[in-house]
Amino acid sequence: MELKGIFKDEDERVFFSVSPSRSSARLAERYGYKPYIVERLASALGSLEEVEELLEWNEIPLPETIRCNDYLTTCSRLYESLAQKGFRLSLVPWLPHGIEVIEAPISVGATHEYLKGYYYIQDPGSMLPVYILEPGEGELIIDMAAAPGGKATQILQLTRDRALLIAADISRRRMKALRSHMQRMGFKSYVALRVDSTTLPSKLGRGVADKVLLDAPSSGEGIIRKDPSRKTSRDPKDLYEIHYLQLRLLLAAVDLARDEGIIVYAACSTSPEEGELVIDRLLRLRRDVEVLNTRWEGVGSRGVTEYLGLKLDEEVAKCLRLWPHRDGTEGFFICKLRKLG
Amino acid sequence: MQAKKVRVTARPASREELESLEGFLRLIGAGSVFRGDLIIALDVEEGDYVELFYIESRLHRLVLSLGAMYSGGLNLGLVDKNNGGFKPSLHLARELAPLCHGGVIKCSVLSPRGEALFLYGKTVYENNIVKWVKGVSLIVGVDYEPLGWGLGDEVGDERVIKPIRDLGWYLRKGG
Repeated sequence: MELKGIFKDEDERVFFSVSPSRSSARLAERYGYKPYIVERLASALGSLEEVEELLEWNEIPLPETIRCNDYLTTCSRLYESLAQKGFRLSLVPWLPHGIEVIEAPISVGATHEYLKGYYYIQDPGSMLPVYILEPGEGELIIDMAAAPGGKATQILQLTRDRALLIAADISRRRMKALRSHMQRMGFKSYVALRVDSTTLPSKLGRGVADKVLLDAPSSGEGIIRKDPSRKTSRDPKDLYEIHYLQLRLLLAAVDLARDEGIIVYAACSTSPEEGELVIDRLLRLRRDVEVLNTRWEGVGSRGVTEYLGLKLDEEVAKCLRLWPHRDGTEGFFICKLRKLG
Repeated sequence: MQAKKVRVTARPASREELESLEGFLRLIGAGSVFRGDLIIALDVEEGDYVELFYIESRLHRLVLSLGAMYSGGLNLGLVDKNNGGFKPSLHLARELAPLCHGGVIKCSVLSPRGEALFLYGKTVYENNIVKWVKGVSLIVGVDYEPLGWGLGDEVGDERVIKPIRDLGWYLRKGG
């Protein structure tokens, strides 16, 4: 189904042809951003003061974090063995398997513990969608943008390799990494498919999955702390294309889920066009899906319901946002949905 | 010029491919530990190898119905299309490592220093070998954690272990 053109032209202009105010443009210049990004952040956060706080936080590089693989070892054993090698570490209090690396004598990706599969290098916000998905043993789970494998390995870790995971992605290079991580970390209960995930319902059938995870391709506005080039690398036109790709993928995710099945949609972005607006439009297009309260103790804010002068569906407030300046993480949007029978 | 599209097929493993795997498993003393009907061969057109995967039955059916996959299940290793030889994977080493306990299969044990050398792809000499086995064996550390596959050999009077494939591969080539 062609989605572009379904929604009102004036709404499309509001979201994808933003004219920055002079104060947003000044702030953007000071921090090296394209002005349209700052203008949109001001609308999402409600004040330029808070935007400035966020931009300041985005100047602080994101600390490296690892997810201990308690399928092969225990987190305390891993912690001790890395500490003995001179690593300075700190447990992330709100993540069951998250360890922050404060100081590393050698590259985190070159230790024997890494080669033995005892951990995965993963940003903290990126670990959250799988905990929120709550994967269970015996469930058929589809990870629609699975490579390089952070969340796919996490699904199998949480289910002790007893879920049936279909890990799909279109990128050959990243699929190679997924395969390597699966083997390194000792997981077997999966099949990796290199495929355009919007075609999965026609390949696998509708209503086949107990749970579907879609950590959608994004503008990367949420990972500026890791990759400052994201301040200027995208245009509103890119955002428009990304938004519709995300919406197409999410519609496919709903098709793949069985009745009462769970879908978790996530995007590593601070942009409501990649979060709340995707959910708002999904709710307008599909009556067979509901938003569940998406919360995690210790972090997160509610979804944005008013943006650029337009009201979004109130249900999107149930979704979860991670903001770098509020949560100390990368920017992330996570929303748990249920397919209705 | 447009690159030629390479065709990759997922199909049940052939009798010859299963025999190649079985031959290797016998060599290290493992016997028949995998059900042949759950083994999928990933065959790259004009490639030199066929890759074998052991896949749980529900996912196995799915792969055969699609006739394609990128990878999945337990990666057993590669069968050389030219000579039928079998090259075991690191994934297989992890799977079989518990059988090193009690000497069920052929395993060599390295000291912590030997482990470090092995993971750098270096030959390990006698002073860093805790238990040496002649020929191909699964290599483990003193904690019996798998490190890869190696070849027990003799250089003059000295026993050595030469890496066939070590976990350092994940760093060097793993992607």
